[in-house]
Amino acid sequence: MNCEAFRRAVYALVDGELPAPMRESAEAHLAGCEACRRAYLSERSLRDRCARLAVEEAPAELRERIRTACREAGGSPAAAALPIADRRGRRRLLRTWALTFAAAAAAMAAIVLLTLPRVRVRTAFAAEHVRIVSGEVRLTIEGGAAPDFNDRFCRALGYAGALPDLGRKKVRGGRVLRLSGRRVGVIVCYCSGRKIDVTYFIAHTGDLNLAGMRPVEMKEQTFHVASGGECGQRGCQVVAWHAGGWTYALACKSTEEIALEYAGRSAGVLPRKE
Amino acid sequence: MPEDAKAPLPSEDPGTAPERWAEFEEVALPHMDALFRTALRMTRNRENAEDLVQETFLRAYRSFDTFEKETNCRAWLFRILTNSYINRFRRAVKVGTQVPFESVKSFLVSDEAAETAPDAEDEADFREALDEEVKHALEELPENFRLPVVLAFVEGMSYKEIAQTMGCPIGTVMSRIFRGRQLLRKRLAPYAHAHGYREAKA
Repeated sequence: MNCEAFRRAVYALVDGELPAPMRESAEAHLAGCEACRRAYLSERSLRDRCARLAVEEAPAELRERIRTACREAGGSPAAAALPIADRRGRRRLLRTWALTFAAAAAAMAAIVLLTLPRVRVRTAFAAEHVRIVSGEVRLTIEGGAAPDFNDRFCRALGYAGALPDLGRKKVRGGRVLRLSGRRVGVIVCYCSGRKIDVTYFIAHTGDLNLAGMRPVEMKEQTFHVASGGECGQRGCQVVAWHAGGWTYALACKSTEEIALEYAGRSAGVLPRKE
Repeated sequence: MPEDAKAPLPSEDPGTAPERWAEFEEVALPHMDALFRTALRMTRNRENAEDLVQETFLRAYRSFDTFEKETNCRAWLFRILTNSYINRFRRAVKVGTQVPFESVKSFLVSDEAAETAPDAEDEADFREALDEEVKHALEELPENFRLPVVLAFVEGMSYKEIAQTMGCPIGTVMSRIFRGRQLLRKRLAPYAHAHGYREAKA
């Protein structure tokens, strides 16, 4: 088997679908050709990475539910169709109760939370998500002073571009989390002391619904602005924009003008500050 | 996958319940994990995946008498899963999911974000995130390529078994896996690079 024939057969070989005589011939070629060996290993690594997912198991609760549903259905083909509808009905009922309960609980929680430091609010939420944490990293995007953080963050997010321009701010950390099953990344940085001045947020376009934010045009780019008063005395400005297949947002303890300036620089429509 | 693929019709002859159950438990239930994983990749949503798997088993149990005992139970179950998926979810998934900005705004402006510290589980989290990466890449494949790729790469099915599952010729399975593989490779390239796979290719 020559290289050309091997490359044609490599997928079937990796997939274990090559008939025995051809497989032996391919393996013989593999032993003597470094380039084809690399091509083969590369194909195999792709499959191996997928195969790693085969450890995921069905939840015990689902297993039990299916057993019960099937057994309840017994030998009757007509009855076997019922449990799903049944469960749906129960679920609706539960949902009604849950909503009532949740509303009451939320009202109580609001009272409790108002009396607690804000830090507590996010803990349970954050714990649900995959965390990519890099402690205190001095990160300059263009100079690449902390390529490790940059790489890990982008890789975990599936983000192929460079991080938004963070200037020379100190990056406190970042994390990738899932919201509605979608991946988003958050970078936290600050300029001085423990105060966070700017938080960046990156998500796939279309996953972020910007309805309700006020559109502001700056050069060829549309930014969306929302103001919140809850973050420090100066208030918190949030600016979001879509670009290059991604959605970006930044939160900034500042005035709207300054927040838009940060956003404009990050989006590349304003010149970067030296 | 062809629109006309149909699961076997429900049987009129239910058989005797305890024996029927015992046999079903032995040949069908062991495939639950595989069905669940595939349902997750197809629906991209845990609750929908659970519903789909439950529906699959109920339909399978209902028509278990039509299942030919010598044939491949896994392919049979996956075929029912595929049909159920087409019937229930195909239209729904096209809508996609959106995250309302309000839900992330609170995260953006929260002071807790600054309380993040490096910890010993960092690396484990990181590896987990990389597996997530593969899941995500698979889930982003167009549906026609996603199913055969998941069945082949994750579940280790043969082309023939996949053809049985999808009710299409082996040639179709091969060409879809081929194209799915290329798309997957493109998506995972940054990952591969980070793990030194590119060095192996250079």
